[in-house]
This record gives sequence, structure tokens and C-alpha cells, in this order.
Amino acid sequence: MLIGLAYATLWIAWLCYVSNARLDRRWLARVATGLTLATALLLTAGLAQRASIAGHWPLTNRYEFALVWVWMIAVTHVLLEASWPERKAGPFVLGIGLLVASYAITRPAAEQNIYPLLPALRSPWLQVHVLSSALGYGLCGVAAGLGVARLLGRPWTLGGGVERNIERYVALGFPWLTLAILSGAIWAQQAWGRYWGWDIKETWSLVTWLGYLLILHLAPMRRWRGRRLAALAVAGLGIIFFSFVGVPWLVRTVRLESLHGF
Amino acid sequence: MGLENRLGRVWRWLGRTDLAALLIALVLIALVLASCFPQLTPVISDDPARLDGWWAGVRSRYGTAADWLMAVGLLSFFSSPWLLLPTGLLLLLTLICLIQRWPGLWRRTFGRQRPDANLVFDQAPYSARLSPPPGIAVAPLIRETMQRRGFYVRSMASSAGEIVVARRNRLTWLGTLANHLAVPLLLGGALLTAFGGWQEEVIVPPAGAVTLRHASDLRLADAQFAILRYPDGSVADYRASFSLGSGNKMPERHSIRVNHPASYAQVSFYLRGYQETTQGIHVTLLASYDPGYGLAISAGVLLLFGSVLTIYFAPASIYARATPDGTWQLAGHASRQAWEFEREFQALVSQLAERLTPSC
Repeated sequence: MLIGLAYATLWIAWLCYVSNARLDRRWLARVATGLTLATALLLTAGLAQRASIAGHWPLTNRYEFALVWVWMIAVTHVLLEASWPERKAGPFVLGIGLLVASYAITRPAAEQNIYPLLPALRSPWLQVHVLSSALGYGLCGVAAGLGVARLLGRPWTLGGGVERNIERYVALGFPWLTLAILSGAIWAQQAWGRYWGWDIKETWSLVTWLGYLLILHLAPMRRWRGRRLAALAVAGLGIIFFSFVGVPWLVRTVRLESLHGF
Repeated sequence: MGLENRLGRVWRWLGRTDLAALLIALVLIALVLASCFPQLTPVISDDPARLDGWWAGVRSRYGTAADWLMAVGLLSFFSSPWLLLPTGLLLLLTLICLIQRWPGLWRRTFGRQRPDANLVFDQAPYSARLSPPPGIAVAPLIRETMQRRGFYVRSMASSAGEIVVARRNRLTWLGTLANHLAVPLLLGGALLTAFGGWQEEVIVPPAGAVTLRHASDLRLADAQFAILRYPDGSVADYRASFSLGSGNKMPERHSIRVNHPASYAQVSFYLRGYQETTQGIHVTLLASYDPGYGLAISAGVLLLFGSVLTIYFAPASIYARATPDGTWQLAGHASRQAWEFEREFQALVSQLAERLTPSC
């Protein structure tokens, strides 16, 4: 119920941001920020409740991961507003969060149920690997939301800070993506006896990492500023989405072998 | 143009960021392509039964095109020139970039720089002027204020007078070097793993002993196996134990669980499966010797360390000097990742202006 409430609050927050972008009312913007914070708090409570029932961290399937991802986007967006009070980016950043939350909510009931921890997941590296992935995805998701805002431009003019913040959040997310791969490699060595096996999930995590490494190399170049940087940030999120949702589909379609059930 | 000039131009071109970006993009595209086809990995090719099954699956999916796909390398992409060539070039360029940038970044970090006033003050991205009232010692005030903000402060003499130099996170310039140094180390670890390591599946019986092909002096015997369950009956854990000995040494008893391998004489043992037979439960283990793991993970840690330094602890410098007209000129410089520096610089200027204002 807490998760459902958080989802509804996120929708209302998003609508407030969209309305504020049109009406430009300070009180509306504050309500939107407050509702985003409420979403984060409700998600925290919901995930804590889930963890309490399950007896382990809620990081074991795509439903739980998506919730943590949304939580990260909500928290990051609130912090973004603290340093850059340009609330007109809210519809776009929270739009990304809404997309991920909608994916989570539409998961089959079997995936939303709480199960005891599988033997393969009984490792402290579960927390390190999955949380660092969620943090990285969250920060890169915020960058992508800002990228969408920059691409759509009018009528929501955001000023010069948007490009700087796109680059900032891509950069902040990059070390977390690195930690996710590093911790995954250590865990793989402990579980399967090899730290890298070109498993399709591993390959796409490397594709994601290379995508953001590419953005960090291109961002300082003048001809890659502006709409191009914004497009790169959005493309980076596209890679993340494919890695998260598309890889299982690819495994089924191409009949690939994968040790990652995630 | 002489040969030396040409070689110099080529050398500088090889260290360009846009060339590195192009190769990163090529490697990325190659990996995306590789993920679209079932790959023939050494694990499959080393097992005749698995290899037959793999080919049967590929031929049922791609028909006569399967042989063509194999011939052009799309089914063994990770060992094909399509991936190895751009990856190799990228590694080479990373090394060249490291060699090119090392001296400058080292000097910037550890060298006692004598700032060129024209560059530092006239071309500063952030600048301000203070108009202190006469009789106030401005330089000590600036020094104290900067030190409170976490800057390392010193004064330098120049032809135009004293320059106060405040620097923060100077050592993090080395983060870039750490990032790039990690790449050849990672390659070294991967090569050690690929050419110096081995893996072998072994089935340990409940009674009797087996040896490893790769390490024939290691004997595994007397396997025991248990499944731990949750109250609802689902599996909580798999636990196995076996005796392990070598040469004339007394065998030791070792336990294995998923995610908790056993180690003996630099060989690690991982739980792979179990088979129930009339003689008891046979435990399948994976024995692995990997000399490259430590180096590869160390490279990963170095890469992570360098990224965190560069991005989360961005270096910044602030310079201050008195001008002939009695004002003080401030200049701020910071790396791209100093996201809040502009705001901090403005706050610093405001704070100094306030402190320099005589109180009534």
C-alpha cells in the first residue's frame, strides 16, 4: 500500500510540476517539491517494510530494483532543486521517474511478491552491487530528464544552468556505474569462479559504462555542447533502459545463455 | 616539413580526446553487435557435448547463414578483430595519453608553480576586485579566509608584488593519471587470466578420491552435501564439504557454499551442482586457478579511485594580488568538475568585502 501511495504521490507531484511550468506559481512549485519529497519518504517506508517482512534488502528482482531507482531519482531531484532552484526541469526529471515507477507497478504479481533470499543472492555484495547500480542509474536518469528538458526547449526555457547540470549528473553517476561493475566482478568471482564471462548482462553493463565514458570525453568539446550533449544524455538513458528491460527480452529472443536472472 | 615534425604531429594526434571518443564509440558498437548473436565461448567449445548443442541451436535459428556468421566472426565476436582491433587501439591511445599528460599533471600537482600573472589574472574564468580602506592588512585577511575554507595558502613574490596563492584538492589532478593507468593494468590482469589461468570441473564422490587434470597432486575425496531450507520448504542454501590434500600432507576438510568458495594451494573451488546416485551424493565442483584476478580487481579499484577523485574532489585555485590603484584583484580557476565553484567564489568575494568594510 505504501508503494501504491508513493506512486500516486509521484503522479500528483509530476502534475504540479507540469502545471507550474505553465502557470509559474511559486506555491505550486513548492507543493511539487514537497510531494516529491513525500514520494521519497513513502518509498523509503515501503522498501523498509518490504525488507522487514522479507528479512533481506529489497534488491532481488527488477520490481524492487525499479523502486530503488525511482527513490534515487526523487531524492536526487530534491537535492538538485536545493542547488539549482529551477523547478521547470521537474516535469522532465520526474517524468523519467514516473516511467520507471510505471514499469515497476505493472510487474506481474509473482514478481511483486516477497520471497526468501535465493542461495545465489546470499552475499554482502548483493547490497553493494545492486545499490551502486541503482544510484548510478538514478543520477544518470536525472541527467537524461534534464536532457529532455533541454531538447524540448520552449516554452520551458531553463537558462544556462541546464547543460552544466546535465554534465554534472552524468559525472556524478559515473563512479557508481564503475563501482557496480567492480563489485559485480568481485561477486562473480566468488559465485562462479570468474570475474568476467561476457554474459550478456555483463556485456550491456559495460556498454552502459562505455556510453557514459564517451559522454564524459565529449562534454568538454565545444561542438558537443547544447542540444548534442542533451541528446547524448537521453541516449545514455536509452542504453540503461535496454540493459534493464531489453536484455532479458534479448536473451529469450536470441536464445542466449545468461547467468543473470535479473 | 621534417620527419621529426611529422612524427611529433602524429604523436600529438594520437593523444587527442576526440580520437579516443571515436574508439570508445566503436568498441561500444562492437559490443552491442556481439550481444545480438549467440557467442561461442571457450566454456562451450571445450565441451564437445555443449558445442554440438550450441551448433544445433545456431543452425536451427540461422540455417545456412550460420557458417557465414561464424566465418565473419559474428559468432565469436569477443575473440574476433571486430572487437580486438578497436579495443587494442583504444588501449594503445590510453597509454599514449598517459605518457603525454603525466609530466604536466605531475608538475601541476607537486611543482611549485610561479604563476604567469597575465594568464592567471587576465584570463581567469572567475574574477573580482576588492576596494579595501587604507591601513588594512589585506593579504593576511585573505590568507586566513582561504585557510578556513580548506585551501592550502602560500605567498609568492612576483615583479608586481606579492601574490597570494590558495589551492585545494591539488592532489586530485592525479586522479586522471590513475584512471588511465588502470587501463593497461586491467589488460595485464585479463591477459594473465586468459593465458595463465585454468578452470576444470570435477565430480567428487562420497567415497573415493579424484584428482585434477591441471593439478594432479591435488586429491579431493569424501564429499558430503546438504540442502538447508526455509520454513516454507524453499531452498535457503547448499552446503558441501570434502577432504582436500596434496602430496604427503594430511588431507584437510573444506566447506563450500554458494558465494563462499574454498581455497587450497592457490586453487579455488566453487560449488557447481550435485547428483544423487545409489552410492550417495556426488558433488560437482569447479576448480579454478586465476593469476590475473588480483591485478584486474586492483585496476578496477584504481579506476574507481581515480574517478571519485576527479569528479567528487575537483581541484580549485584562487589567486589574489594588490594592484597599483590600491584595489585587490582576485582570480579563480577550477577544473570542470568543480560544479559549485562559481557560487563559492562569489560567496568568498562577498565575505571578504564584508570583512574589509570598516565597522562603525
